[in-house]
Amino acid sequence: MLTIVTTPTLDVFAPDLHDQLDRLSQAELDAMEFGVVRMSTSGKVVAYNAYESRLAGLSRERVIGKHFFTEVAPCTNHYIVSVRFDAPINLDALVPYVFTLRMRPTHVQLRLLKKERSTYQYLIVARGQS
Amino acid sequence: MSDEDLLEFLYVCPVGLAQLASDGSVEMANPAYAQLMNQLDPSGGSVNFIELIARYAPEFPAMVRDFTAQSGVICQHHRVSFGVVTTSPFPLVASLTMNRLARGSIVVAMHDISSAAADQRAAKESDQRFRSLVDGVRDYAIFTLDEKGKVSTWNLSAEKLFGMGADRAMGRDLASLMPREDVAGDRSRALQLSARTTGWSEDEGWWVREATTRFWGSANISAVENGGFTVILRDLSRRKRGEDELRAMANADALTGLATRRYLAECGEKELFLARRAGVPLSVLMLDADHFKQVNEQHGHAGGDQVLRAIARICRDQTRDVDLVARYGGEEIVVVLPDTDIIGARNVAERIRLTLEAYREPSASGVLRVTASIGVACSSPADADLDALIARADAALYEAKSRGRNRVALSRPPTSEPQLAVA
Repeated sequence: MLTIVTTPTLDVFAPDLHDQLDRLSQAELDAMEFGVVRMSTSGKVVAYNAYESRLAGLSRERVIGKHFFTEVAPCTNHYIVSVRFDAPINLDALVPYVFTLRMRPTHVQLRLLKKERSTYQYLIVARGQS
Repeated sequence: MSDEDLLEFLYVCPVGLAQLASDGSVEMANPAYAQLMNQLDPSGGSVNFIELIARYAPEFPAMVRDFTAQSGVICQHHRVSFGVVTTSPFPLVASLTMNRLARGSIVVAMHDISSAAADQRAAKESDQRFRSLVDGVRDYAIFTLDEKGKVSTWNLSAEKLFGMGADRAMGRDLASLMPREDVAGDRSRALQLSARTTGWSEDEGWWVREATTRFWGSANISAVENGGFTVILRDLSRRKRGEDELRAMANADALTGLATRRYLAECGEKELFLARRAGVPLSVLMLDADHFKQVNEQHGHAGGDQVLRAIARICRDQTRDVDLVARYGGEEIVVVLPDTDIIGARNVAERIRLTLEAYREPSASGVLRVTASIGVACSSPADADLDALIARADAALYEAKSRGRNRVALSRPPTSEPQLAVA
């Protein structure tokens, strides 16, 4: 990847993270040091950043356009994660979770972001904090 | 097939898969496994599978430890109940299969069967509720026939009413439960045909109990979708009916209209059997009129008969429909009280005694009056049969007599332990 990235990585816990992410291109998302899954409000993957791709071992091409909760990570398709996106309200929740990235049980923090008038919703994956 | 294909496959696999080191720590796991484990330990803190499972299924560590073969199936579809976890609408139940590999690690496949288990449980509960309802009713039988008209379910209520266990009842025709003369007239076929055409049919008539006695019952037969029938049958004969009807059944004593001693032996024994199986007490009263000879001497035999009829009437009035009141001998009456302990039985006996004491009836030879002594016994496992129970009630009656009559005496339960001699 030869793209020169000037965007500094954002703070995964920043209160206005949703707005900040909305402004970033795919290339800028790739510079983030946490996983970003940008979805349409129906759950289709629109952008999948390099960090998340490396963590999960899945290439961007394989994931883009798929429904995240049913086709990519069905283990999140329940009411701790996916169901919370269904409600028509603003959502900003931090959920400790265990992902099995490349089959290694890995402690992560999921941040679920949804805003009423935004085209996108986000699943943010941050390592550690256990 | 690329590694990525394999990864994706494991990510979406709906069965939880994990590989454990021999100590139980998780080496590899797929998301479905993590999701299941996450429900048990939302902090994700526990990475030792065997320790975590042991909290819910204590047999687990031993099961793994005792599996001494180098490799093979440790358990297959082992059902583990985790109870209610915060993240699931029903109690979490998983089916677990574990394989030990030759190199020492253990492969686990775990499948969430909570909703199936919840369905099963709900079905079982509603079945049990229904059964307890059906088995609990008295004087009703509810059973089903298959599409060929053969008995296909037979529960306790039917067992009680017909005095016949499921072992003998299953596969019978409805006709075999009816008297022979009705079979010739095709009563059962007419009933089923009518139910099949119009949805249900009703009938009132004789049914046969234990191939010997009859009871008068009202039946409602409904056709069900699979081609079979549901039969709801109510025994009307045990309701207190007029003396004439009882007498017509040939089980009633001509003078008092009470059940005969033979009928008591037949039905009382069955009541005792049912009470024992249901684990409920059954009590017996033995009543004898006091100084009856004097009544006869003063009022003649007609007066004596009138008093006997009054005693019979009072005994029936002071007992429930389900209680069996029988004339046992000359002036002796036995009352069988199902579902009644010694205290309840004493209360009934006391009520009868007081009502009798207050009884007055004018006659040509003067006012008729009488008192009675009553012995009470409640069933105990040590009683061999109904006769043994009646014998205890009789002994208590003797005590009531010897203590001055017009009173109630209770029999203490027999002890089955050998009596110790006191030095």
